[in-house]
Amino acid sequence: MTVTIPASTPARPSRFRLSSRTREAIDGYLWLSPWLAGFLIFTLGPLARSLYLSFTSYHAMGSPEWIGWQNYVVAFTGDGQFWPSLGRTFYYSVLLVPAVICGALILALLLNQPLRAGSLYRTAYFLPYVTPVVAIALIWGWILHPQLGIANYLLSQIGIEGPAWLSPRWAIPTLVMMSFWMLVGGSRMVVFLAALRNVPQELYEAARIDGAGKWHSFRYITLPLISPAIFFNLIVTLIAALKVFDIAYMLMIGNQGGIASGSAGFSLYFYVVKLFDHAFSFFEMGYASAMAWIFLVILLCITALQFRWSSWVYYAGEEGEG
Amino acid sequence: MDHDDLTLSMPQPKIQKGMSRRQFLRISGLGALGIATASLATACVAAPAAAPGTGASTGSGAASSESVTITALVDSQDEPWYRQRSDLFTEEQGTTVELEVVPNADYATKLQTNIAGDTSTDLFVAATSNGLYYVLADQEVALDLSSLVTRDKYDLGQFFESSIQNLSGPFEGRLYGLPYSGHPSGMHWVYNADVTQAAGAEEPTAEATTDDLLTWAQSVLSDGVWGFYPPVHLWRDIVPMALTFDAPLLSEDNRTAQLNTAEAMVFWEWIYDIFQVSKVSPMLSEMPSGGMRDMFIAQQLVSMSDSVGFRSIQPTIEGQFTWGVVPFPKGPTGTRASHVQSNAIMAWAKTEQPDAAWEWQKWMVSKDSAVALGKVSAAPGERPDAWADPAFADDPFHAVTQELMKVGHPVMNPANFRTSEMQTLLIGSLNQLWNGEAAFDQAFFDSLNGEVQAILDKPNL
Repeated sequence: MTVTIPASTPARPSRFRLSSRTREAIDGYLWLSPWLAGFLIFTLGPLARSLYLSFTSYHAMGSPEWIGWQNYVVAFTGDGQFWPSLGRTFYYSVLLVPAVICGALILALLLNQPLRAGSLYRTAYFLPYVTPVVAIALIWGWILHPQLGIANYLLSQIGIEGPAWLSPRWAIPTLVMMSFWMLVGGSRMVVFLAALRNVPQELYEAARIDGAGKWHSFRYITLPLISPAIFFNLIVTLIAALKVFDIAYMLMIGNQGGIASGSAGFSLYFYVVKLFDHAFSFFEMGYASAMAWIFLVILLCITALQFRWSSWVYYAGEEGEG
Repeated sequence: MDHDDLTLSMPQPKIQKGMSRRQFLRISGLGALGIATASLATACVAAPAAAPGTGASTGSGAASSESVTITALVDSQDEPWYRQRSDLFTEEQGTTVELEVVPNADYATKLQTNIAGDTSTDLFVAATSNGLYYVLADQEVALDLSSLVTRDKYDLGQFFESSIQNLSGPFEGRLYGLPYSGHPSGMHWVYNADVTQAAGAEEPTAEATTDDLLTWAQSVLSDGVWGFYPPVHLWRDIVPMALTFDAPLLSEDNRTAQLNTAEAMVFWEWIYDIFQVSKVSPMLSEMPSGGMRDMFIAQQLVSMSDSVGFRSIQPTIEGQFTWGVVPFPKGPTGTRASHVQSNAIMAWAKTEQPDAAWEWQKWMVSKDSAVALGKVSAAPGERPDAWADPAFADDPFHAVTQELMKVGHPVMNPANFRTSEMQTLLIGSLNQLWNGEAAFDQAFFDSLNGEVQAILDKPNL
């Protein structure tokens, strides 16, 4: 049968009409586009550029000169401070991360109690986290001054001769103490507090009826249910610790202005401090880029291992799915 | 069929009149994308226009010589001087100077970033002490001024000889900047005359030797008051102290480390004595965060060897106590030394206003500018006629600086320009000795010498 369509027939829907799913996708990408543009230009672009620069000799002022793997070879075999700086960074992280995780959890448990002026405590504990690092470095410098500082004065009152806190022997433990003070009441504590408030109260009630004490409730209810928060905090704290820079740099500059001229000498010459030094003091942008990429691979490996060994993390939503 | 399709398939006056949530999202999303794209496009178009360092002025400068604008990146330390002299320059020559002022601590990073982004100002400043001048010149980021000097028959003899040698020596005579300020490093022995008198000691004299200094410092020691602090934190200050002991720490061509020679060992032992044997100096870990100057102000330190930077604390101590200054003592063989550092004004190699930039450079290093600098800063500009100006005749500190400039050694930096790298290694390692955490012996310096040599053997930056 032949059908003739009169000229006056109303227009049919376009053959190119997009499906609702496609239109929805376009809408989504439209909304994402400002962020995507920023990501491509300001994050992915520089990342790719730094990967290229890591294979060059580049001083930020001339043209990059391709040298292949040489920067990486020098880092692993020809740089006397490469391995020591990495070692210091891991030593600092191993001391700091467990202390911060445990400290933040304990603080969150305390603040999770029905307290009068609880928000005041939360603010007080959060304050060091938002205090500028320069101010923290200066104030702790005064507190820990071996002759004039209040720390050694208080120790002397109980018959203990305080050490030179920022001498090479004590510099890393001292920095761990300062970082602990800065981080323990910060975002980690807030994450723990939120996780604790999400633990269903009826579980505690049921446990109490079954005769469980406080320790058993904590061990078998609280800990498993906040384990995702612990895992999250573990990952971000370890990465933050390995990236230690600002406060160490402040303490390393010393009072005369040159890096390593402070009393701590090289003892706070962490990996990222060294990286910064190569980029902006030694004008070795190519080598600094190689160091950055080596560091990225190290961080990725550590994070992957953490995920691999994360069977202790309990996700309530996944129960019974597998 | 989803809800959206249902809505569209049915005649709904409300939707025809107004706007659905999805339509709103689509339109506003497109708007946001449009604004973002437009912003990026504007930035991309504007950047190349600004890249030659003159922004809008580039065009106007090309159109008319009377409306030329040049830009300069300067550090905040001498900002009043830059502004005052640039305003006068504009009045006299008609060229506008736009100053971009950056805090001293961020200066090198900002300059590097500008250059890497091809958005440098027409002019910038750089010091020899941290090696920045040499890197900028060696990479030919800065304009070679040699042809302009020849063209204008510009007299370089008006500057200290060591200053010109500092700037052109490593480049076979090619000059990449004009010296606008300089100093002989930390070789002023400043002392507290009141405490000296109270301790029953004689005031130091210009004829004192390094041995005399040690004896004197011990004589003024008392509970909580130290005798002397040497400048051991910067390479530029260690070099002249070692020269006093006839111990150049680098070979003449600046390619070989000489940290472990017999003369150098005498010098190192003298410093070690100060910290660990005579103990006339506080160890680094015993110093307040403000360093030796804070201790001097608080009268916990009777004397120190300081640079022209001492000027910054002069107003604080005036009226509190009487102070005096003499040159750093002569060494065991009677040698007196200093280490001349220069700060240069450089033009960007890609400037579109090389002539205007050159005129400003010459203006800023003229005698008038040099004298004006001396009135607002630590020292006059780097030329003998400014240093001899009557404006500074009655200044005892300046008189010592003048004496030190006469015995000034040109900059002794690694020939491959890796000054910062070497300084970090050297200072960090030596601090272990001064803090008593490493044994003083030949082996320590043999090892350190080898590490420094490894840096000197690297290719040029």
